[in-house]
Amino acid sequence: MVEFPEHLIRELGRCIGCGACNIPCPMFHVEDLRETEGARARIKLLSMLSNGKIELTEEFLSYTFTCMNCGLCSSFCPVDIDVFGVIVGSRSALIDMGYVPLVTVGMRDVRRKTGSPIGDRITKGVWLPPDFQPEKGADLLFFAGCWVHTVPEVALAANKLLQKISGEVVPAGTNEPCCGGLLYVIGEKDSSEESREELRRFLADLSPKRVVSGCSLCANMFTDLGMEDLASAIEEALEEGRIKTKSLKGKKNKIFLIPSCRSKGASERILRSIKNADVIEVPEWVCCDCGATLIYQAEPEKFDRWLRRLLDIASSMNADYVIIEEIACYSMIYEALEGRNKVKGMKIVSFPSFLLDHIS
Amino acid sequence: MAEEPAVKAAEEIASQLGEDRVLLEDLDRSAYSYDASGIHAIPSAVVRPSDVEDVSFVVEAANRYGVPVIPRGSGTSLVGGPLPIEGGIVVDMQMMNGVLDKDDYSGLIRVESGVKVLELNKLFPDRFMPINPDGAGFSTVGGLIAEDAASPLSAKYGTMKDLVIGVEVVLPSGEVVLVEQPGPPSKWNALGLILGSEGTLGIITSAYLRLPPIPESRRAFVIEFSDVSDSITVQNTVEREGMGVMGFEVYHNYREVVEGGGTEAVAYLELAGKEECVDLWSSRLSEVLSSMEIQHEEADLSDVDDIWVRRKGLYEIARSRGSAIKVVSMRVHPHLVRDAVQEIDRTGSRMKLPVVTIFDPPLGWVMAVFLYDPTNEKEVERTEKAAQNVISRTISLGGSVGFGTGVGINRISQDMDEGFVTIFSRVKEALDPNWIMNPGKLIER
Ligand SMILES: Cc1cc2nc3c(=O)[nH]c(=O)nc-3n(C[C@H](O)[C@H](O)[C@H](O)COP(=O)(O)OP(=O)(O)OC[C@H]3O[C@@H](n4cnc5c(N)ncnc54)[C@H](O)[C@@H]3O)c2cc1C
Ligand code: SF4
Ligand code: SF4
Repeated sequence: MVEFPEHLIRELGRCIGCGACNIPCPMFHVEDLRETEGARARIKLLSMLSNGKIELTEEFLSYTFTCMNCGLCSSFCPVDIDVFGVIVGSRSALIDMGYVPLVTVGMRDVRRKTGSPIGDRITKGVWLPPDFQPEKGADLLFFAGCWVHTVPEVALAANKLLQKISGEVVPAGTNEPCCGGLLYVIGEKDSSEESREELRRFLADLSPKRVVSGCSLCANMFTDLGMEDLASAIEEALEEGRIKTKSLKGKKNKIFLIPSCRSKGASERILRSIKNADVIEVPEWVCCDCGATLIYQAEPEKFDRWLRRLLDIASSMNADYVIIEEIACYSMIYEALEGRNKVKGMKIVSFPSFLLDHIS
Repeated sequence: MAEEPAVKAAEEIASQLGEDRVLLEDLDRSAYSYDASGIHAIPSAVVRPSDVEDVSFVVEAANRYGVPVIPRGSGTSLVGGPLPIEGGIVVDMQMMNGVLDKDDYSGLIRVESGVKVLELNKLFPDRFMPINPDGAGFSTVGGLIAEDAASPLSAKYGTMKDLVIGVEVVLPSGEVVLVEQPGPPSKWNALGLILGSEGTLGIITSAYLRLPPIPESRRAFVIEFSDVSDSITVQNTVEREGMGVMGFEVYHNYREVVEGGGTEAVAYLELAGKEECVDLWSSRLSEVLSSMEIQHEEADLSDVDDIWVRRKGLYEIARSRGSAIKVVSMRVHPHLVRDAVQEIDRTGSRMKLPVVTIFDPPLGWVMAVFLYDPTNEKEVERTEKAAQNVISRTISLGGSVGFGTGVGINRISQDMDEGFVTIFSRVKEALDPNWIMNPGKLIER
């Protein structure tokens, strides 16, 4: 029998099974409302595991560790169970008990070797000169985030965009540590903490006036790092009148925005303020960020189903653009679409690239 | 390990519906073993039909193999309704979630039974679904009809049965029938049989409903009662004077349990209708309350919506002590509400469990909400005992159990309601001679 820590047992026991947490759960919707995939089942099955009603199998273990990690479930629970927190806490507890699924072992090892859990698929800073070294004390340090290094053009776009809002923009460069967000959601609390500590030291050493993160998971999950997410930084500059949006060409353009899961709404507000941009209301379960990496790597066919479903919805709503806020998410989608930037007549663009064309 | 005939039936179903529509893995079966009642029962298989032909095929095959079939909507039942307590195949209706027809003028809609309350609420700008039992809008139309669900707004709009005009049902034989109004009066009887039958007579595949318009004007009060009996006096006045009550719900022991002290009961009362009427009723109500020296003030409508629609009161109770909750839903004659509340209180103190009683005077609806520590096995057991005790005490008071929520596994027995059990069992025998349709629920075999 699996013995979870007391606080987890209590939270699992408090779940009244109302199913509200399934409403925003992308896994539940993409897998045709199959109960197993939803957030409620994750809580209920963990609870059954903890009181011995079911056994811990290899299948159960990988199930517990793979979801979109969007965290939306927590905000829907009417009895204030931090649903995602409980899922993550259970992953950690299982790891502590020595039950570690293969995908997690893989990410842990890659991080040990490369400094990033996806370090085997990226080369940091390919978009920068080979001998690039970040200057200390910059006005704005651009922390790109691990995934952005797979799509240099988006990194460049984000960097240029930031140059429009701040005098001196310095990219964090090739030695940029991982924030540990992805490790955190898969329950690797120690290695996540090590990673974050490394980043904290890195930032302290460079001591910039402000840091803007291309990865919104890092900025919004670890607020103690003092990083702003890209969309919020742009919105602030718009509000202060330092930059302006340019209107879109032609008639109304329908925009299907895939926001970051931890978005504070800035990306949507910015797009809505653009003339001739018609931002479509998307279902509550539509969002994506670096947390999707796990499913992208461990169950790519599920990631593909998710992507296909989103593109189908966007196309049924006659979208002209599909705009992806989170750079990590854009990178995964870019790879999954094998670099195609047009699907079903819709342009698939990253938020920074789109804004670069529509901000002056 | 799954039962043999059930697996055979499931295999046959898979060959017709497709492998992906039949779930046999342990993980999936476990995920369909719970609802919101705390009870567990793992099915042999789960099937996921996408149209009425699928459902008919599933039921016909199960009947041939003599395997129970258990319809399931969103699994928010508080009484084990969608659980296979006698084994069998769970039929997950959620994929049947299409809106088949809607008419903006009349508010009439025809929907598949897997459509959820939150989706119904998106259909019209000026109409709404007054029954949202779980507060999140997650329950399905099929589940609401099967349980004859109720909400505080049932004071004005009735229970689910009052919104239903017709249903399409797959009978235990696999036959598909349409039972619909308007039509000859005899059809009312057939429809009445299906409404509230807790999935024991057939699987509802689609329904014809009418959503009411949002009222023109609304005003609400929050009232503090130092004696719950006063709420019945208020109800009598409201009725006698013909006030348009949208909802009236009283929370006994709420301040004590949730806030650590305060008045005996807090209540919400909303009046709705034409503006002039609402204003008149409101001042009259205020006058009556003042004359009875009952503390009250006008409430924010969004706060009251939180109570009615999002079930905030209930959830606040669940949140208050980091405990779990057990809900028992009953109905008593309004003049016996005081006695029911006392019985619930007595049970709570005997079992050493905090308890809040929610009751709706216009409906005689009483819900006991026990709080317990889910990590303490003894307390979990005591809670179960407390629930059973409240049920038997309510019955001896002349009340009934399962208003709104259904009775599920707390079946109605001969000594509770002989007339109902006799008639219903004969109908059941005739329609479902093998008792394959959701056995172990509603009545004893
Ligand atoms: C916090 C909370 C509060 C609640 N408060 C209330 C309340 O105030 N009032 C109230 O009425 N209920 C309440 N409920 C109970 C529950 O929400 C209702 O019973 C709801 O109607 C169940 O709908 P469902 O789709 O989840 O059905 P399920 O739970 O899946 O099933 C319920 C029953 O309906 C049957 N069924 C489901 N679909 C079909 C179908 N298509 N054809 C035939 N039978 C079917 C099942 O076999 C089962 O017997 C509450 C539940 C929760 C979690
Ligand atoms: S984190 Fe997202 S994908 Fe995972 S269970 Fe919660 S809502 Fe579902
Ligand atoms: S929303 Fe909260 S109480 Fe409801 S099923 Fe999910 S975790 Fe349980």
